[in-house]
Amino acid sequence: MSWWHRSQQARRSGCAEVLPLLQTFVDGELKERDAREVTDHLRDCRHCGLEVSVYRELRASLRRRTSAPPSEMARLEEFVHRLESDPTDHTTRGRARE
Amino acid sequence: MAEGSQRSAEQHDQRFSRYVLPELEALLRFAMSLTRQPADAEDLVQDTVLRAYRSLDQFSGEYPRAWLFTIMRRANIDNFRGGRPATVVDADALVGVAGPGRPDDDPGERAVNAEFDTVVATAFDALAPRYQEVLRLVDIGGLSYAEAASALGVPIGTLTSRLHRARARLRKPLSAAGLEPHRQRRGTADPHTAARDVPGDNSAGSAR
Repeated sequence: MSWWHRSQQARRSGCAEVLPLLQTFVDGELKERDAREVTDHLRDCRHCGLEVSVYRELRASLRRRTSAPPSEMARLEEFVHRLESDPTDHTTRGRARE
Repeated sequence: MAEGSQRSAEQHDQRFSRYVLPELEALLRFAMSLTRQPADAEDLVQDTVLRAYRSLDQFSGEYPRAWLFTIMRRANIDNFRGGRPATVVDADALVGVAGPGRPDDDPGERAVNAEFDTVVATAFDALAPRYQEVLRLVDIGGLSYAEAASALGVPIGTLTSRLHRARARLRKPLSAAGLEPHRQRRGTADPHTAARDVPGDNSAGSAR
């Protein structure tokens, strides 16, 4: 077996160990030591790097879909301030929109 | 007596500032994933914040975001029962809304992003509610596994199993549309291909 084949085999066995951890890694739920090992593997493995990018893109896409206009956020902050200053005032409830 | 009552009100306000205010943006995002309409999402957040304000004294202080999301899910169900628009199923409603920092300077890239988002949105809408729910909590809402499992009342093993399965189902149509990054496949021996085969939903649940 050539050096190239041996190195490919070694990388692939690394992938087999790392792949089941990738989603947990992307979610920031891996233990520090495991996360370090995954990070090391990703430096050399483009294939696993692509897997990581797919999960990150999926999340980004779901978040893009649920982004609200800044005006909604501003009105909500205003609503909360009114609630804090006078919790008994039920007119705080409701939209400030036209 | 009045002093005690004032102190209690102050403590209540402090808890409100500590547990609810920092979560406003996450609440709005979560509400958007439920209603898809900014106006309805805003109403739902207001409803949630009011309910949280009133029940703050019963909150233990653990996992505030998960607690708030649980309140919102209940409020959304109540609204639905009351005949108000709760979950609007409209795959195209918000597809293509550019978020901050989205790399959309290049028209070609913008088109691919829009197509990617359309496929993801359609796949998401086709998912069973339990799969949509885990994606809402973890990917959209940013909950940790422990928080999401607590919000759903399931073991962490069940949560992660559902999450992986949900993501695998989102990836399938992306792959079919050629929207996943290209990788060379070498039969079933390729661990990258094999890793997508997610085992069934582990309802019994096991710790990771």
